[in-house]
Amino acid sequence: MKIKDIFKSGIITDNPVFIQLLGMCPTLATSTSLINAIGMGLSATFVLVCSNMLISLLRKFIPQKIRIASYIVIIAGFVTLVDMLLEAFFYSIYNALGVFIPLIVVNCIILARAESFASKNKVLPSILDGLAMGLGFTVALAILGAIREVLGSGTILGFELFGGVAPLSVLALPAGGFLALGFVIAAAQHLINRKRGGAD
Amino acid sequence: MLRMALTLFAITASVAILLAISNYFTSPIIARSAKERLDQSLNTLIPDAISFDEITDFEKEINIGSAKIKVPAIYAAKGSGDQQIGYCIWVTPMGYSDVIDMIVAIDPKGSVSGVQIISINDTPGIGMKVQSDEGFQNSVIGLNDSAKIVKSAPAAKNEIQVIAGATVSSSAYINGVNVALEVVQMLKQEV
Repeated sequence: MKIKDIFKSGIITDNPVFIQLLGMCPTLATSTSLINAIGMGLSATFVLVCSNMLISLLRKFIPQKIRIASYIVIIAGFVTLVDMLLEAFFYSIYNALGVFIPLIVVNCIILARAESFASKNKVLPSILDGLAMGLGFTVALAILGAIREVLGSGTILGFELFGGVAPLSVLALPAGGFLALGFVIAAAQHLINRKRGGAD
Repeated sequence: MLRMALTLFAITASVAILLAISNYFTSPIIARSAKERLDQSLNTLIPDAISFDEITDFEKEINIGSAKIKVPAIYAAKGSGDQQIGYCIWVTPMGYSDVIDMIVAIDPKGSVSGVQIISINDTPGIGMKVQSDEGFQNSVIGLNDSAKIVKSAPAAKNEIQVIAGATVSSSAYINGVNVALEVVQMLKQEV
């Protein structure tokens, strides 16, 4: 029951992108195609799970006053690890995501979960929370990435759709990213509210 | 106070050790795959070459207009019997949002025989067209003199039309080709 709640909150009712509106910068920048979105989502999920686990393990050991500095060092360490692994084994994703991999360090979802969950909970729930929030981030990015790739470039996972009909390039650009994000958030909020009984 | 300092030190030290270990395992793989990608590009550009010898004694920056363009490496392609069959010049012009890494092949007569992009990170669907627009890419082949960038249909042989809407990225591409041509001119003067 509790596990189900963690996942429900991470992916739907507390989705980091649609509900908490955290991590907007990587969301907009890396959702130009589905594969980039999934690559970014999974990289962030890996960092989130590892940092939540370690921070939860060390929560009684780290003094209150230096907790943020410690969290950032731990997060930066895992991000650098991801950076090395992607460059070694998934070069095309590494190349496409560019500077946004190192920037996972300052992705506020990760610090937010460290501060508000991992530092107050036991190890297993913290790992699950990291996984759930990471999946929520990945799902949101993938939805946005799929919309922007299909409409903005006329492809999906690199395969040509529509046979040469000119795509709406604006959706692949930053301006289109903001527009698409707005519509997707509106739709997500509408669906979630309707499920709650339309209270708000 | 001391406890805080020691805790933070312990955390940073362990993270550093973890990263040192992972660097030890990943850096050879990274270096090897970078080498493979480079070899693949070189072989696509000059398939007849038996070896590519790096020319090391060369200045690594070329000025073009107001921009400085780095030239990370130059390779002399050797065919059978140690015959010089062309040059591959690795140039790095600045694109719209990031540096474009590309290799320009120049034949012994001094004209461009091909271009391979190693990495480009420009706007999808716009700047990235320089990687997919074959008409544009073919327009620089055969060029033997510094190209001029034009926006309308080219009138002379050394005029290259940029891709509409992607002026910055395609100008960068042409600048890269110009730098490569200049490098080969300099090499010939030295010999």
